[in-house]
Amino acid sequence: MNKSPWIFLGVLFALSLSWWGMVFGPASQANAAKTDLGDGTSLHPRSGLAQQGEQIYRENGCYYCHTRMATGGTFGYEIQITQLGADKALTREIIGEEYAGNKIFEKAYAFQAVAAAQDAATTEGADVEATKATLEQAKAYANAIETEEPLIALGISGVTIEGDLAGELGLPIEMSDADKSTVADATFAVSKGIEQWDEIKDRVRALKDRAGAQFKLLPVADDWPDVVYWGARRQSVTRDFLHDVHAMPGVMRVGPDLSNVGGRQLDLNALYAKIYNSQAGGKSSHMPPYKYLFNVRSAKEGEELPTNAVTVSTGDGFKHSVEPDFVVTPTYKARALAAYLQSLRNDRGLPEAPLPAVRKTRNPEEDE
Amino acid sequence: MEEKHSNLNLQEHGEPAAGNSQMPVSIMVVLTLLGYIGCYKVDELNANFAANVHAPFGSPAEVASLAPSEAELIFGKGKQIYANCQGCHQPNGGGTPGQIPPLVDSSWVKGDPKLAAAIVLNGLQGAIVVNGTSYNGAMTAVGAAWSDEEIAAVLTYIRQSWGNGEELVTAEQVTEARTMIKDSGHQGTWNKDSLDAAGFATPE
Amino acid sequence: MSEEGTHNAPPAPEASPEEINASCRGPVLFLFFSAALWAVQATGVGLLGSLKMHVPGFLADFSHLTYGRLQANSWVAFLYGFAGNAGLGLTLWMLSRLRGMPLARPGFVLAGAFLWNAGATAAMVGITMGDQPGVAGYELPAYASRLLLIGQAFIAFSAIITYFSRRHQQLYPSSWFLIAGLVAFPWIVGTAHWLLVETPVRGAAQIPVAHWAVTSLQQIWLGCMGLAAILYFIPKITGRELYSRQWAAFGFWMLLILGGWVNLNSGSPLPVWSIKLSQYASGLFIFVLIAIGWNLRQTAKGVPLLGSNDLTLQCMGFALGAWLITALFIFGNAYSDWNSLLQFTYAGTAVRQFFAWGFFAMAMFGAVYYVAPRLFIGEVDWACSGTYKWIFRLTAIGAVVILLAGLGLSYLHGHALQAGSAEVLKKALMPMRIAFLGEILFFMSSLIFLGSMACLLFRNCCGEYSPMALIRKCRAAKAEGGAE
Repeated sequence: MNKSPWIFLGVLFALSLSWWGMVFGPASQANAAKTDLGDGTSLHPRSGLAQQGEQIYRENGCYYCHTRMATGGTFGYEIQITQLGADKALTREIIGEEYAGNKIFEKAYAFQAVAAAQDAATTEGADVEATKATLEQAKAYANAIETEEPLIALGISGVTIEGDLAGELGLPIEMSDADKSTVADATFAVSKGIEQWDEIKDRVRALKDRAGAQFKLLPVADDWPDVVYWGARRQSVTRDFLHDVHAMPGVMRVGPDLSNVGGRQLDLNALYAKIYNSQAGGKSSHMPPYKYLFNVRSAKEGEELPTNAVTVSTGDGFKHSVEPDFVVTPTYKARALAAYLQSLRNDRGLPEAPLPAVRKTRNPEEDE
Repeated sequence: MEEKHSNLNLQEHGEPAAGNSQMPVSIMVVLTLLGYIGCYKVDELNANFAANVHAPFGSPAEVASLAPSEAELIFGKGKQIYANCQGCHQPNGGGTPGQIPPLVDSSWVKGDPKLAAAIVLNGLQGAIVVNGTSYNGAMTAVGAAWSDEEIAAVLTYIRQSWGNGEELVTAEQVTEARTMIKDSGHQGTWNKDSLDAAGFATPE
Repeated sequence: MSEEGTHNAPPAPEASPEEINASCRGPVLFLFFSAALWAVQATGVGLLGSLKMHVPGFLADFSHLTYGRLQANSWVAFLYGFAGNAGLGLTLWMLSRLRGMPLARPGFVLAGAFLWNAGATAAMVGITMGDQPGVAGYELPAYASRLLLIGQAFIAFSAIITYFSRRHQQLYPSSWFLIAGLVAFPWIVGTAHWLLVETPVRGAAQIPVAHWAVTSLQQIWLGCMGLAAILYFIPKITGRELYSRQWAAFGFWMLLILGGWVNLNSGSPLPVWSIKLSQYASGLFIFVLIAIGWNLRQTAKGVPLLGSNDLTLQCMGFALGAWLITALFIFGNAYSDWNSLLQFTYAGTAVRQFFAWGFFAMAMFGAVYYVAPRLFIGEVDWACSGTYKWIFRLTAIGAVVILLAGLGLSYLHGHALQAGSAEVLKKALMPMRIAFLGEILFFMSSLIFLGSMACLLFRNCCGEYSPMALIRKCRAAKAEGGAE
């Protein structure tokens, strides 16, 4: 048997396996990714200037020393209930005594019952007996707790109790605007914020399907270095690169990660100063200066710095030119690069990657 | 061959050949087992090959639980669309006293959403009374070109904002409103009487 | 040769080794000499770039010489300049030898070699002007990859005609690897060219494509050519039979299947499934490691490869060791804690450099040492064969320094990144600064390689009128005169 041609076919086949898995599969998934976020907003392409900045970033090979991908870390889940289920006993069973023993749980039900009672009482032609039952229920819940302070219920906001009904129930008549917003923002956590998905998934499913409660899952970052230390707000995901002409996630972190550089409130002048000479003002950095992205001319005697001059403050409260005795202004390329950097941000949650809360900020020095 | 200046041995062996030693069965079994364990791990951790599951999350169910609920999404979408309305009705839904009726706590907004849907679809003019105050303005048919989903979203936003605590509006309800308009044969901008005539009960 | 192996013995070649060598002379020497030039270019430019890790302001005012551009240039010069030229030259020679046929259509090879080098040059110029597509590890502008693909097609045409010019039953394993290398290159570069540069896919889709291309170029393209050389020269020089065809086949197919999957970092902004699948492939890479390692260990049993008198065998021994260590690192990447510790550090680049120089370049140096002198008729010699040993020594030390710096010190950098340490910059720079020593050694060994190639050509290509021959004649005349 002559095997010569078979080697070719075999090689093609073997190569095609990883091609399908690493090129075709992910690429077609990414191609199918939607820009729409489902809530009427969508991910937009960069502005024209920032897109040209992407080109400057690429041409100069900035991606050799900077990554722009934040990674995931360890975290726990906080389950924040925004609206309790109708069945109090069932909900109590699902969330457990630890949380149902909380006073806010009772209040929430009381308020919910009051709202239902109010609806029942104001509906025309309502069943009198049923209305009465609802009122009794509300009264029972309300009596079970102290009523001096305004009821803070969850997810039910702005319900005004009509005079008679309120009097009968012994409830405050009006909620102040402050109370209303407290009510609207109030959440009722039924987990410690350290639980893993596997620990809570049954509870979450039961709350949703059996109790009919509404809730939010909030990841709470624990050992998540990029979020806790390095300025990212969440991990980078595929959709962060949707509108890149050339995706440059980077390879090495000689310099800092840039996935959220635009979200860190960096002021434009500071960004220019950093690019012009990152050691200016005595800062510790190892980034080469990119002075060729700026126009530099010598300052005239006693000249005031123009408004677009790149400056540093040296602690005496005055702004000095980043290059003493010279006036440094950004060129078009520097402005484009800065616009690109400012467009790099991951401080907006996506449906597949919500912003985690940070449990506590740790001082890196202490870990040393 | 002449080799007097050479310190290289140019004598060479023939072209190499490959022997016939077989791979031991035991090693093949071990390797297959390793491969199988790996397969099992991948099967467990592949998150159903979903495109939207990124580390540190591990499964589509988890990501689905993290995403905003349907109601939140509709509300958010409505908020975006409300940008078309806030020029007159104001961002706080308060309207302009004497000219534009408020949406806050309005009996036109509460109750059956088909009435509001009909107004958004065709506009409204003439005298009406909202919360005891008379208005005599004109609203254009802002939603004529919007989809049922978009109208449902913006009505949901209005009905659930600024203290309004109504149920959300579904696209089906808007479709029903469209059917009612079609059945009534009415065309153009509504007034209070034509709304009543078409079966959209207006509040007094 | 063992008795039962007799039916595996290759049939008598139709052409004598001398005939085959002669047919390869022009094209293969051209490729080898270009490779030597590019090696100096790659290491020199790399050194300039790495100097910025010590002195950030060095050459900072030249927009064409940023660290990113120099790094890209260095890798392109290595990959397409040095590795492509040397690897393709060796492919042609080995395929002819293994087929026992003279190289077919050497004219095509010369044309292809010119185009290929034009492509590599275009890439360098393009990167300097800012045309790199933004992927570390695949830096080819569109025009450069077109030239490279056409050039490679010309060369592959000649190789494939040679391959099919004669049929016999058993193919020596090296020829599988060589054929795979020839097929893989256009596939990989074609895909990357098409999906990343020519008609770029959406940004999000570029990340897996780029990773696949970069990994495949190293593991499959370089891997196949380098392993072909190792599998050929170790049995050939020791005069033994390769231990097992079956092991070789297993290693070969696993390498082709897994080579493009491996090494995806656990922090990549890609869906969980592609990362898990890549980790699985990295884990399975242990199969390739075992297959290749065991096969060659059994083949060279009892022969101290590194301690051998034969320089080629020493080079192949080191190259094999380097390949195995790289494969072990890939296997380690299957463990995500280990990977997430090292993913943003110098470790990945260090292993890439170790693979490039310790494995691939070393295999090529050894092969060229063996092949180049044989391409001449008559007076064959490395003009200064003592110095050639330094290529081996310097490259070996350099590769080890880079690997140790990369793995040892990057570990500290990884820890600093995970702990949010304020000293992260210092720890990031440390391994790169030490690796600089390795790069200096690579540069020196490349210079010696170029010098040796130049000497060889000068001595031999112009016969008795070559400068070296003239010098020797003068000396001889002087010595005679002095004796008298």
